[in-house]
Amino acid sequence: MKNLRLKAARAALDLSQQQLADRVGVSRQTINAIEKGDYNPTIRLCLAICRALGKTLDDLFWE
Amino acid sequence: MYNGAYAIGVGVGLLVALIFKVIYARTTRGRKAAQYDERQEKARMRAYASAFWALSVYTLANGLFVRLTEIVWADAFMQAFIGFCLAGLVAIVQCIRDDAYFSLRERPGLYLKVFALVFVANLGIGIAAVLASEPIVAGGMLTVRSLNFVVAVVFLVILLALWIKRLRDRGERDA
Repeated sequence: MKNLRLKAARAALDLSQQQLADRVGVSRQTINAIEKGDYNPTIRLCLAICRALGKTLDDLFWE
Repeated sequence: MYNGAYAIGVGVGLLVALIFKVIYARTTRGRKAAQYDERQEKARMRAYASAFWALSVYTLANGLFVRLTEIVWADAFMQAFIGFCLAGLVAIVQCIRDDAYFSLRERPGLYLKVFALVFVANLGIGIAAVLASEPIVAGGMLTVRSLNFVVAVVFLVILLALWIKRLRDRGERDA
């Protein structure tokens, strides 16, 4: 299932996938895979993304 | 079966590889090792598993084929080498497909140039050997002289996989 909330949060900060990937320390393709719902990240990566975007786990990942 | 020049050639090849390894180790000393993110590490593990199964299936199928048909299509070294190349290719192409071939620090452009050089060099050496009347097939068997062509094919497939991946990535970037 696509993670549109992540994509929206990233777009709200005017960040590209590459910029977010650099902040989190992963590849651009990993961010792309998470947004497309092709990869289910570990809690550690979820937290890193939340910190980078100033959001909570509930905001971005909780169903 | 092989002459002294052949043995010297193999020795020189191994020596050159060793020199490159030493130079690489010296120039990269103190730097962090290749770093992959968690998705890439999982993808690489799946690719290694695929390579293991590819080598297993190839070894069993080839052994069965030779035993049942009594057709020895390549000398023992080439049969093993082709299996090794096949397994390596399966892992590499799967890693390329899953964006797990290059680490976060590596620059694909540099590798593309090196791979293209290896492809051209092996193709050139192979063609030169054929022109010098060294048979790549003798008595219906693929000889060790075909090794350069096998390596050239391996690098051609890697280059094609990287090129296709690059085209696909261009389409999906920040979609």
